[in-house]
Amino acid sequence: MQTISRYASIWWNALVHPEQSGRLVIGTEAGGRFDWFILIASAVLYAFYGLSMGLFHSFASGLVSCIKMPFLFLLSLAVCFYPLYVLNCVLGPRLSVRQTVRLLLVAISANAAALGSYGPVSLFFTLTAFDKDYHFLIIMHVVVFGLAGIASLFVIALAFRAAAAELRKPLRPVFIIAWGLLYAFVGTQMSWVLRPWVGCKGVPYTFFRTVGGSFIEAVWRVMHNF
Amino acid sequence: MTDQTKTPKPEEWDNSQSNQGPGGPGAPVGGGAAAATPPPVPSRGSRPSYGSRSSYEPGPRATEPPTEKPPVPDAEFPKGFWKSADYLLHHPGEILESLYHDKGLTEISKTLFMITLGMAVIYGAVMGATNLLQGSALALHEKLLMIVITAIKVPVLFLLTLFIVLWPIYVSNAFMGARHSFRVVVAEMLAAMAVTSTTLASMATVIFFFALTSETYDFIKLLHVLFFAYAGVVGLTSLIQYVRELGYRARRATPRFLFFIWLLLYAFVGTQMAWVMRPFVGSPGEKFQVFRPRQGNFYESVFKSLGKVLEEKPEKK
Repeated sequence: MQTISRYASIWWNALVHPEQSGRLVIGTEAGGRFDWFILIASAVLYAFYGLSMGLFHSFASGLVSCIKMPFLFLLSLAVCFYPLYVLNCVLGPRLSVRQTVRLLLVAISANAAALGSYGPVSLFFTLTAFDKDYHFLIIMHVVVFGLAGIASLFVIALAFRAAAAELRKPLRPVFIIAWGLLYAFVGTQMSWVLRPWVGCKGVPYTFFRTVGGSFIEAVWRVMHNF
Repeated sequence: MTDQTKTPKPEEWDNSQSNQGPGGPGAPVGGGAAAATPPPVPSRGSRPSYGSRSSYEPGPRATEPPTEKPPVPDAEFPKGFWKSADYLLHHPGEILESLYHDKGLTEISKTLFMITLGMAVIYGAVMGATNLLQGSALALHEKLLMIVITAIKVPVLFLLTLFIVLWPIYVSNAFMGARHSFRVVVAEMLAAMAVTSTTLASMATVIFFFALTSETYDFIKLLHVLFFAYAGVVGLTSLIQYVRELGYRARRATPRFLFFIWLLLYAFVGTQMAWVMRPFVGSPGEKFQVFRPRQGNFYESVFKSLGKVLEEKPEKK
């Protein structure tokens, strides 16, 4: 229990003061168990937000979204990990595998914390919404994801720079931008694949809709239909 | 004209303060290499990183003089495929030292060759599996055969392109540039190819994911082109870095326009080779073939795919 609270305080300190989190990221401050702690903490925060998303349709869909949300982010991270590792060797600070894992987990946990903080807001709107407010809720979720993403971007950028400075290795801004783009690209596709998240009332709920097309094509189609 | 070694301006220096290898705070490194006065010409012994310029590094402390960097040892690749690929990614400086001293290049070239081969096979397998993953009208054994065939084609693509482009690069380097020996040029280009292959193979998970979850062949084809281009740019940048740094040390800088020519050379030979060796993925609706009859060209095909992706009709689910 004591380790957990110690890890929690280290973690929160890293998120609030990312410019000082250099030693944490390169691994001199906390051992391997810290990675598991961040992983589980992120999963819990995402699950909480997923619950608030899915409760619109029914309690069962709430549970399903609750389970799917951590998978969305962590699977996207898994798909992106190897390209980001090589990009880090080529373009950024040449962190080792463990350090890259730690860095990416810290980044994900920043997003999880930001998103989880909007959980009560989302819960409130979901529970007090009528059936016809489905589209409003979708827009609200997109906005929340955007805000959480922006907030976590600040943390992530500073944490990257702190890690690079700690190791006295150069870091090019292109690295952070490329990271963001790749992760966004894979993440949006993953969120499309794992839909539905909210669940339109009146449509029978399925765990996954049939895999068809991609996020980008759907967006293009929507714009086309305008 | 190109014989002069112009003293590079401070901002042209590759300001990478890379330490030896990953790990905790390493040996004290002079933050003062970026100081106002340009350091003396080639004895800097700096390590290239794959990009061209660093834009972030800790500034020099006012009271400390810039300390000398510890000497960089020669490259020593560990045994094992993944370990040596990791070594390649993390220690370009050591490889540079080996190139500079012209020592042990046969061993290194062999290792780099194996890395290129292995990584290209990995990406080729995932590329060929697109048919299998996306579901098309081919028979199962044809889909599996596609995986094997593309897994053979991608390394052949890389190595043939390397072989073709090696000669003009060697000769132009010898006449107009840094005059490296043939062994050194081969090793340099193998290193660049190994970096290209490794970067390409790193995108395999992304391609696998998109092939599994999207249905349009043209979209995946464009992704492949994008990733090949990205990997090619990274590899070529590393080649240019090596040649540039070795040129500085030997006081014979290679002119910039030569790099540009090499880029064009690689691009044209590479894309034409890829077109000649198609199909890599196998568009749906076409029957299974190891090689398609010669028609059209690469750029036409890419533009057509781009058009198809952008004009997707709404009723297509």
